[in-house]
Amino acid sequence: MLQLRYRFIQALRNRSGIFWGLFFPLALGTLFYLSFGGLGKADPFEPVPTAVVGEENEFFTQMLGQLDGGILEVRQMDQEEAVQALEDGDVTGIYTNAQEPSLEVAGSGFGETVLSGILKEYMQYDSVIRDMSEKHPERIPAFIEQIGSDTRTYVENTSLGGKSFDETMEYFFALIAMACFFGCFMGQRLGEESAANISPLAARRAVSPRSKLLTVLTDMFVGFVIQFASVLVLLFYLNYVLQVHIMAHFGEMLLVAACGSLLGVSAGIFIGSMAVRPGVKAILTTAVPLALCFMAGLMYGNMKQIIEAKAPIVNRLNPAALISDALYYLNIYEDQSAFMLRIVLLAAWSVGMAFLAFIRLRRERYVSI
Amino acid sequence: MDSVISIHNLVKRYGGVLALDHLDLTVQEGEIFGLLGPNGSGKTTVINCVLSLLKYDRGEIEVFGSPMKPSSYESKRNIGVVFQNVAVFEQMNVYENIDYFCSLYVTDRKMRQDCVEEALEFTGLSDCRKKKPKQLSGGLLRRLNIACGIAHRPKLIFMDEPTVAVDPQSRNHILEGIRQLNKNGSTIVYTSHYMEEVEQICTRLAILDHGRCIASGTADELKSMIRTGETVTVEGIALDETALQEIRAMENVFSVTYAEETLTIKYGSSGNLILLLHYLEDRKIAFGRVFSEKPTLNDVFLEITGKDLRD
Amino acid sequence: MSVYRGYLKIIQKNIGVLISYVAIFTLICVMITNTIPGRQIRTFEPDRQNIMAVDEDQSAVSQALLDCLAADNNVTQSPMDKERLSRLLYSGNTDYVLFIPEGFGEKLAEGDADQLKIRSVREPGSGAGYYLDSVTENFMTLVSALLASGYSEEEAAALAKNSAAEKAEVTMMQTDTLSQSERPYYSWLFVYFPYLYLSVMIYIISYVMMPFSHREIRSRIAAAPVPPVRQALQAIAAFLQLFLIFWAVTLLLPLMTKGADFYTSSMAGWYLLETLALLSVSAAIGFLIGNFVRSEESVAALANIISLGLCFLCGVFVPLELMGSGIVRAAHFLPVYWYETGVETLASSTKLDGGSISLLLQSLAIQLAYALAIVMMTLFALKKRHQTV
Repeated sequence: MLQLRYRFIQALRNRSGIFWGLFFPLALGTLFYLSFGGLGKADPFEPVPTAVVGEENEFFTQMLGQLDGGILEVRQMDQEEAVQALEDGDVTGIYTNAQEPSLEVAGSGFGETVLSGILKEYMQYDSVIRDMSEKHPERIPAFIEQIGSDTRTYVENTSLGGKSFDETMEYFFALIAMACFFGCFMGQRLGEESAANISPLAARRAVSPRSKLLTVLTDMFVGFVIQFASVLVLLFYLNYVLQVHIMAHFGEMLLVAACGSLLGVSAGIFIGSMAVRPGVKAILTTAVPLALCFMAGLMYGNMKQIIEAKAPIVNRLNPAALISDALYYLNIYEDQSAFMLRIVLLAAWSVGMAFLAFIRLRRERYVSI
Repeated sequence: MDSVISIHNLVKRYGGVLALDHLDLTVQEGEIFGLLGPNGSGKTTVINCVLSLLKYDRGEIEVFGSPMKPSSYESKRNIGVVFQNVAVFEQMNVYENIDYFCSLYVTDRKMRQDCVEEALEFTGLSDCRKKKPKQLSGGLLRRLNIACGIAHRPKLIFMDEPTVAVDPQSRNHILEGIRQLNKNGSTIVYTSHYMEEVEQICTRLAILDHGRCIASGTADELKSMIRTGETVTVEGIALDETALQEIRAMENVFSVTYAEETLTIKYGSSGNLILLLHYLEDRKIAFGRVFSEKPTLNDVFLEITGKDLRD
Repeated sequence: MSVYRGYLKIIQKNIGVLISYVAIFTLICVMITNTIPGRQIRTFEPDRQNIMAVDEDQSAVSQALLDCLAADNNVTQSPMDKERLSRLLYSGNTDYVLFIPEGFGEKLAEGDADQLKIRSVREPGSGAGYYLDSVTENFMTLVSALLASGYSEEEAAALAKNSAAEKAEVTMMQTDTLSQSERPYYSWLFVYFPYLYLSVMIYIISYVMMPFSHREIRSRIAAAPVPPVRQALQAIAAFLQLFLIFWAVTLLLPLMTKGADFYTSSMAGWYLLETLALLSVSAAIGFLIGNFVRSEESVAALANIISLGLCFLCGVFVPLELMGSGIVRAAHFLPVYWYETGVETLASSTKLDGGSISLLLQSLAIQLAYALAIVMMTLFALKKRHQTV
């Protein structure tokens, strides 16, 4: 027990391990929160600002009037004003409200698509009425009356079992994955203190009468507990302090955090016990987890989706993507089988890595010290 | 006396390099056994093999009468190690470090506390118990390194160059401490390339070179193995060829070197200084400093290998 | 020149590790850029969305609706498979899912569509989903009106479908300003450069300078007859070669990101100036950290905090227009913000007028001022340290 206590003290006083495993993710999470402050809470659809020149076409005017305040933000202007506004980017397009309405835009984006869609709708109505006036002019009044009075909704928006979701959640999921991975800093130190060919400290521990098996298990247990606790702190901080709701199913969240922490710490132990230059270890413990987390959406939220579309196998192999995916399926789409698949793959990674770390540390004699 | 360590026919290769070449060594109980040799002679390799940290290619090693393996926990319980490089936890203070390493050997709490206090007292670190390793000077750090290795009162202690880069005060403290440990019953294996130290405290020693034991015995025994009985050095002297020939022909002289006004004569026995001084007086040859030295371990090494120990 | 030679030797010894860092961050930068869908057209084309349609009705009305949507979008029909559809939505392969229940057309013809509705699933957070909902609503309103005015189901569907073939007359104004989708593809690469430059500069400079921060080595160098300022300048000279090589390498990256037209662009010169300014800021920060950091762990910590922090706060990863106003105001005090402003100006212009040029000059001047200030601060701190070593 004293050994365990001392090992906890040694690990907790490892400033680098605690910084990377606990404080850095908290800082980054806070940074995300500050950066995304305006995102995700607002209505995803903003009305498209549009200039309208002229009022010749009553029907078109009526149509625009109905859409104003919803999908459009209509501004009546004269031609010169409108052109200037378009050039300055104050409006997305200019409707010329003539007998044959037309649209002028300055770019090719979503807003412009909405405006052209509305114009097309008008053209549709116009075409229908022209056809009607040729073949069944007696039906026109009923048609117009119906259009004007129809308040029914024909489309019901629903979900496939998921909650509402803002894109910024991907960043937070990737952040949690990163926090798990950065347990490798803690693990690296534990590994260095246990491999006699790496440090004299480890050699001193190795010549003691304490069973190597017990020593290795103690080290891995200590690293795992500390890292797991750090990830839990992060989860609570995100959920209760920053109000980023990510703890939908607590039990499963614990499982994800546990697997991720074990993986991170074990990878660190493995790296720490390698007899390579410190520079190589630094690359393995910082740049590689960062790259994996980047592919899971840490810097560019859509990255994981893009990889999913182009090479989904990468997401099944990338442990950061597995953690992020698992969190997504827990919190957003609530797809049990998709979650189970990720958790199983993640657990395989964790157990595999832990086994490798264990095998490395178990070594008692070395070819060279 | 029982042998505490028995090494027979030990062979260790690092790739193509033969680090230990069929080495045979025994260390008797109660000795301070010195391992002397230049850098790369295999001293640390021997220790690491005995401690079962290194794999070796051939040979047998017994400690306390039993074959030494990584799982020889009973033997390990009685072994203490002071490594050449400081092996302590940076994050823990002096007391915690000693307590931690002691706890690997001593499970009883009260006994362990006594051991730790004793180790602090012994190494003169009582006033520094709350300090972290970073706050200690080089000498004190070395003492901490020692304390961590001997706190559990081991019967066999390995000390691998414990006085490297240490101030004279700490060094004397350490050497005195080693003598005390030996008096208290510990067998000590002491490695160093400082022959003066080894000569000072070791009861028996072995000289290693290229992984082989080239000589072993007490310091006197080793010195008696070589021809040199005395070395006389005269500085600031001007000699012609005739005088040199005459000196070479003197009794007991077996080696004369003369360069840059310094004359060095090696004799096969001692007590030759007077004769030389008479000769110089008779010839009215002026000279500066004169000194006579008894043979050193360096002379032993030099005669056996043709190299200086410090090379 | 001995300090200069010393640095060159260390750089040489660590070249493997340095190249690894450059490679990793370059890869990240290139990967981000290559994911951005690029178009460089000056004619108008509506955004096409990917729609999955589950048509359990298979009536004339439902077919007409899908045909109408297919005119401007990519519509794929699919059987009902909740898991598969949710996965397609989640992965971004599908933007919108439409369920047309069985009997919908019939109910609509009977005027009884209140009970039976078309169900849609929008991609989470997507504005296009809202728009497609309204397109579908409008189509159904049109069909309903046709049915109410006396057309049969088939007639109404045919008429509605034919009318959907109408094309809207849209002209494109020729301006000097480019929209997001029109900006040159290579400009996106330059947007992400701060992450690459900051990370690499901090890592490699700190890595090379770290040995010189040890107290014993500092003391030894301080005892040498070379004033600290000259020592620092010699260090800068040594690094300059490294920087220029790195800078040149980054300017080859447009070739890896479908941006070969960068080299013939009239804006290329300004882009070069912006990247040089960014390089000087990044190098200055690296120089500051490198002189005072002691361990590799500290280097990694600072490199990540500074590069990620600056990039998130200054609109590299998340566009500034989507961030809170307080953050944007704070970002004005950070050098990377001015680089991003400069690049945005270049990316959204076909030619530069007086206003744009003065904005660019302002961006360059501020960045260089920051770089100079950081270097001066570092030299001052070094001098102080030299006095107390």
